[in-house]
Parts: sequence; structure tokens; C-alpha cells
Amino acid sequence: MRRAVIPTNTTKMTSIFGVIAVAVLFVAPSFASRYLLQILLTIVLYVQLVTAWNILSGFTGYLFLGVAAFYGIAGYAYAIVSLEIPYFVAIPVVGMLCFVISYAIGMVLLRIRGPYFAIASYALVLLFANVVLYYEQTYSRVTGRVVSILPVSTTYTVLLGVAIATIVVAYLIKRSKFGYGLSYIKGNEDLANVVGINVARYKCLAFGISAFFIGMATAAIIPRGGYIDTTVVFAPTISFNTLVMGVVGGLGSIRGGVLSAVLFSLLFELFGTRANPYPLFVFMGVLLMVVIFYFPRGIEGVIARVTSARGEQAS
Amino acid sequence: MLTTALDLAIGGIFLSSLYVLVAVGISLLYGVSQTINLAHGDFMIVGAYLAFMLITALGVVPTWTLIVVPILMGLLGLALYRAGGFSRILTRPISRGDREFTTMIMTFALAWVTSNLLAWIFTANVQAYPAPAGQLIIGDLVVPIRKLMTIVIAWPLIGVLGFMVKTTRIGLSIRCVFDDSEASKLMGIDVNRVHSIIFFLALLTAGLGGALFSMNFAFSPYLGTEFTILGIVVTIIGGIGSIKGALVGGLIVGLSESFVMFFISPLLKIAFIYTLFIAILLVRPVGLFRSM
Repeated sequence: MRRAVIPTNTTKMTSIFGVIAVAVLFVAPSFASRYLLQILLTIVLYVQLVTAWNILSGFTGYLFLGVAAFYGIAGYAYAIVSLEIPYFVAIPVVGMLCFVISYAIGMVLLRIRGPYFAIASYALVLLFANVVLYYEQTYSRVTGRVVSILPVSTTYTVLLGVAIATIVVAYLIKRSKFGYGLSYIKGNEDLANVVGINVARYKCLAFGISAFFIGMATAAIIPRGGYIDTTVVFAPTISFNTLVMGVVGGLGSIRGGVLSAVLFSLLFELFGTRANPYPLFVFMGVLLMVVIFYFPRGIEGVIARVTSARGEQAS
Repeated sequence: MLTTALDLAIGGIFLSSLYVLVAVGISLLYGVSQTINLAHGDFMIVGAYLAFMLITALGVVPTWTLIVVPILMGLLGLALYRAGGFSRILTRPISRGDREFTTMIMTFALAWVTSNLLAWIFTANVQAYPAPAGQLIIGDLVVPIRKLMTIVIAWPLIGVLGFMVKTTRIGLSIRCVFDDSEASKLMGIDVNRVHSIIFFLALLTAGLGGALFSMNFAFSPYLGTEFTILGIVVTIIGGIGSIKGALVGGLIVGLSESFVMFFISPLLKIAFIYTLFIAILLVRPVGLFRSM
């Protein structure tokens, strides 16, 4: 191992690098071009989504394949509430709404374990999209909704704030009693129950917090496009991308998730074209298969292997 | 009124036959080979495109595609098992939970690859080809021949499959692996061969489903997801690994879909089936029929 090149303490390096990155990101709107800002927006969005997704799926092991379901619900909720209340109030309101909905759904859905939960959550997108479409066609008689557009710099800054809050909360959860409870559930749910962890409440709470942050991020970014309909906000791409990033980063690893979100977002922005997005999608699918086959623990697994090879305790 | 009811019932049975074809594969793959195939619906759509290609590019008669497409898809299944990494995952010394997790993510990625590959090659537009014309008229009831063909081909085939699993020697080894893969290996059953057969059969039925589907409906690359989900719902209602269960589950889902779509709203069919799915999972997680 080349000691001179690799820093001695990964955790310390991560935090120092994190602080610098956050500072640069916050002042970015003042110097960045529109194009660069657009790239940063995508990066921040996916960093946020992956971290929020990790709070449920990474920490408890319940594989959630329906990020787009909450993205969609939050999008519609924002379109409706933003008619009445200002942007900054609407964001937490939408977040709370997602929390309540997911907590209620979680009470039923999270009793289903293992692969069944993943499938049920996969179908959740289809369910929500159809119900929303039914409601819109029958009662509102509109096919889409228009949202007033805000400048990119505003949405970007707010989204960045939400993303940082998500990361901080995720770290706090991981280090808390609650977080240990979740990792017990991941390890062996029945045993966790016997040990005295309120398994049902812990799972629902993790689901709720996860959805809360997904909802906030969605509400923050929706005014960017200005128009939503069910195909835009319930896009399976959102679920898929988040899953790929989460798995490639390493399930339950916040830093791994953030890293892979940055890498993949750059990939989208640099190689993805609106005219022919399919090659990139195919590539991502193949990449996910390769990673799960050869590196089931993703980037985090690689980091851990490197650090443990140097006799340092993995963080 | 009676005509409407009959019409809906036939429509339901017709839909069921497609769902059963998808569900049987999912059920066998999960029950015997511990592979939760989230790409199964997409394989069906691949079958539809294969039929489309054979008919429009090579001028094959539509009826013949019902034989050629399933065989091609079955071979694809074999290739997937042998070269696609599934044989390695199934023999890895990892826990059942880890194995299911791995196969699920693998097939989720595969679904993504398949549908986007189709969109890349054929564009995302809706495709169709002229299906066998003609219809059967009984009183007020009008049934297109292609619908009847679907029913008449699908159900007996599933019957044969069920019979094969119940009576033949290969069927016996399939049932053994379903019960206990490790023990059957110790008893001298070639587990690898059983998995190959399962992958072959699963994609064969999916291919047939796709060929029949393309005969009845226009299709586009992203229709697979819905069929995957419905197929899994049917499987879980019926019980994993059970062919009889897939038949009954398929009938329940197909008929209720047909009636819900007519009496309530097409958009609420998913809501209805989803509720059914969750209810079954909570009340009777093993499904209606437990064993093969």
C-alpha cells in the first residue's frame, strides 16, 4: 500500500472534504454558469434522494423500489398547496404530508418482509400514478398541472439546504439508539423484537423520515420545470436511478451513496442526451448487474477493504 | 345484460390466460430457483417483439410464431442461466435472503436493460401487426378468433406443464429441488440441470405469452413492468411454486380486472388488485396453495 498517497484517517478526510465541498456548493450560484448550475442541481438532487432512500432501505434492509411514488405524490401536493402558500412554507408542508402518508402506508406495508416488500413498493408507483390520474380525470378534469417557475439559483440553494439537512439527519440517526435499533432490524428482525425494540414503530418511523425528506426535495425542485403530469413525476427512472446509486454506493453507507450519486449524476449530465437516452440506461443496468455480482457491498465495500488492508478501523 | 356478463367473463378468462402464462414462469423461478424475476414481464414483451420481427421482417405466418418465439425465448432463458451469472449466484454459499436480494437486483437491472434496449432498437412507439382475422358469433356475443386462440392455447399448455411436474421423472426432480435444494443435491439430483430446465420453461411460457399478447394488443417497450407486477401478484395469491395456484390466481386477477374495468374505472384496476395483493400477503402469506 502506498501510504503517502492515501490519507491516514478516512473519516477525518471525509468531513474536511465535506465542509469544503458544502461551502463551495453554497456560493456556486454566484459564479457558476447556467449549465454548471444545472449539473450541480442534478447532483444535489440525487445525493439527497439516495441519502433519504438509505434511511429506510440502507438502515433497515427493506429494499424500497418506489422512490418515484413519493416523488410523484409530493409533486402533486406541491402543485396544489403552492397555489395558496409561499415556496418556503410549502416545502415542509409537503414533507410532513409525505411523512403522514408513508407512516400510514408503512403500518401495513412494512409488515410484509423481504422480497415481498420490495415488490409491493415497486407496485406502489403504479398504484399512486393510477389513483392520481383517476382523480385528476374524474374530478379535476386536467391532465397536468402548471407550477409557477422560480429562478434556478433559488431552487438550487434551497435543495442544497434540504440535502445537507438530510445527510446530517441520516448521520445522526446512524449514530443514535434509533439507528442501532434499525441495524438490529436489518440483522435479524425477530431477534430485534425479542430484545425489546419496538420493531413496527422503528420501521414506520424510518419510512416516514425517508419519505419526509424525499417530499421536501421534490417540493424544492418542482418549480424548476414548471409543469407536472403523472408521467413526469411518477417516472420509473427516479426509482431506478436511486436504487442503482444506493446499491453501487453500498447499502446503508451514506458516504458511499453520496459518492456514487455524484458520479452517476455527472454521467447523466455528460453522456445522457434527451434525444436518445437509451444507451445510457442500458449501460446503467449492466453496471448495476456487474456491481451486484462482483461487488455486493459497492463503493463502501471497496473503501472498507482498502482501509482495513492498512490496519485502520473502518468507519 | 347476460351478453355483457358473458362478454366480460370471456374477456376476463382471456386476460387470465396471459397472466397465468407470465405467473407460471415467475412461480417456478421463485419456487425452484430462488430467483425473483422482476424482468419477467419484460421478457414477455421481448417475445412480442420477436413475433413482430418474424412476421414483418421475415414474413412468417402469425400462427407459426406461437411455436418459434417460445422456443427462442426458452433458449434465451438457458443462455441467461448458463452465461448470465444466475448459475453462479445459485451455487454461491450465501444465505437464502442474500441470494434473493442478489437475484432481485440482478433481474431489476435486467428489466431496465431489456426495456431500454427494446426502446433503443424499435423506438418507444407503439407497434402492432395484422393479427388473424375472423370472429365467432353466438347470438349477440361476438368473440374474435385471436382471443379464443389465446385461451385455447394457453390453458392446455399450462395443464400439460402441471401434468409434467406431477408425473414425470423430471417433474419429480423439480419438486424435490423445490422442497429442499441441498437435500436433493445430496440424493444425486442434478440441481444444475433442474435450474436449466426451469429457466427454459419459464422463458418459454413468457415468450408464448408475449407472442399471444402481440396478436391481441399493440405493444411498446415499457409495458413489461405492469405484467411483472401482475404476474407476481397472481403468483403470490396462488402460492409460490404451485401451478394450480397460478391458474386460480390468474383467474381471480383476470376476472376481477375485467369487471372492475367495466363497472368502475380502468384506472382503478391497479388499486383493486393491489389491495387484493396486500390483503392476501397479510392474511395468508403462503398463498392459496402451498405445495407444488
